[in-house]
Amino acid sequence: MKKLSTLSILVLLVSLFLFSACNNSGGEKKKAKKMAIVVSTLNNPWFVFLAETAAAKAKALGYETKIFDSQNNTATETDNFENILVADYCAILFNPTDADGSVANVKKAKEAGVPVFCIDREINAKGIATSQILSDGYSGSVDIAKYFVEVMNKKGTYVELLGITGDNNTRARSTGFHSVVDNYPDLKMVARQSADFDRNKGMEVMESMLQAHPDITGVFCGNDAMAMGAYQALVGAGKDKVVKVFGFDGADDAIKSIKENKLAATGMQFPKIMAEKAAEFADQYYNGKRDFPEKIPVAVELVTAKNVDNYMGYGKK
Amino acid sequence: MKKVIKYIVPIVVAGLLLYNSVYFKKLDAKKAAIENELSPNAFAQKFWAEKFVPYMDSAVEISSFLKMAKENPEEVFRRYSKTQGIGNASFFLVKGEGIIKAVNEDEVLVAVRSGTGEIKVKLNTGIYFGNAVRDVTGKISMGDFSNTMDFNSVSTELNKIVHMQVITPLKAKATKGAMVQFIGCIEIGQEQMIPEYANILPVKINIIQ
Repeated sequence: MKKLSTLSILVLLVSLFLFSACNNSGGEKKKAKKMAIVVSTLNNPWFVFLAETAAAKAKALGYETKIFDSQNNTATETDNFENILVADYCAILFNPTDADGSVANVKKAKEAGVPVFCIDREINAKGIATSQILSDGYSGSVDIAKYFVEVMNKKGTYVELLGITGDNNTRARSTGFHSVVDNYPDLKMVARQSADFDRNKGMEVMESMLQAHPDITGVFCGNDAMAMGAYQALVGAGKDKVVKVFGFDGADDAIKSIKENKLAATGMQFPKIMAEKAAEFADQYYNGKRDFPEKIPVAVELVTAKNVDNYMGYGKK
Repeated sequence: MKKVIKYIVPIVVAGLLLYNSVYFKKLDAKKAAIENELSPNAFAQKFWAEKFVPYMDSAVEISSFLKMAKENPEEVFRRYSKTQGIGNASFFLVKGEGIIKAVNEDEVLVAVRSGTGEIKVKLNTGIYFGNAVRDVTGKISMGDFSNTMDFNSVSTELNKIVHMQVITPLKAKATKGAMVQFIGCIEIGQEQMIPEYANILPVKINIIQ
């Protein structure tokens, strides 16, 4: 009887210890109903729209929200994460600044038990973010490139303005574009330079490119802000009727510009779909769901003068 | 009591060591991890040989497909379509047999007998830039890759395989009047209806002169 009693105590204590060592979500303390939205920059209206849409959806689902601006700087993003992780947020809706550099921040959040839902841009890792809802930039650029080839009549010289180095979207859009255009030997790229997704830089880079290559007939830009800047430079040089400008994003001013037969085309992303899906996923996580797709591509649609009436800034009518 | 403590400590330590030294991982996840360490080209070659070619047996006969699509498009999408993510194109795998009516620069036109009539089919022989080959089986997902560039590169590599193994020989051998058996992919964009005639990327061809 004494031995049985000792054995029972041992079994009970070991069981209790192992149970408490298990990473059991049912044992997690419920966090406050607050979502943090961390966005790469608030200096670009597209990202402002993305962040505000995510916040609005989270609020509609019953959460307090706060938007954190990473100012396109991984160090600032890290500070944002540190502040968030001590403030009892239940989820982070995250637009990364750098596909590699941002991984560590998401890891910290995971270790702290805070789910992270990436929006628009990815991190180069699996199994760390809870889910990543990403723009299918490569396929979108393939469609823009096919139209570019058609408009350029398969010949001519052109330049390319790239986005931020380190952002996978920069590479995806450029690679998608070249996967088509490089098959046409009479279409020659004569210059390529980064303008950091920025309108003013886009204008400066375009001005400089026009000095060196005055006879170009096409420009592909990795986003609409750079495309609008490039168009401004072309107007200044009196070449806006000769050089066709192609952007990417589906920003409000780009859509208006296409309607006015200024910009030739853009790729419409759907920040509303991505932002709202992230907020919905975070809500489902809060309510106990744990299986989410690792990555979800969201289509990008080609917008030209032919179909622009179906679209408005950042989405479809 | 001392005896109880004397036994508890080693058992707890042993339990902790055991718990942290054993983990369970799904076999599929491990296999997928190994596959995705391959380069996009190697991944594409392996996928083509081991998964895509066997999958071709599930192709739907083209005239039945188009008839069903006319009568009940929702059912056709539900039963046969494969799509990646949100808003992307849907892909269908179809097969058929018919007579070559014309050989043009980027297409071979085929008439497929259907009931008492004919269906016009266009086999694309130009450069293909889409994701049909990667996505039509539903066996590759963006989440299988840490980096979406690899996911995109796999699509490009698969297109190269089809171009080399199917389209180039088709262009060389296709002649008006010859019988052709084909398996191919149909791509339908978001919100598009299934067209009355089929525009197909061929993935397997047999020409009978």
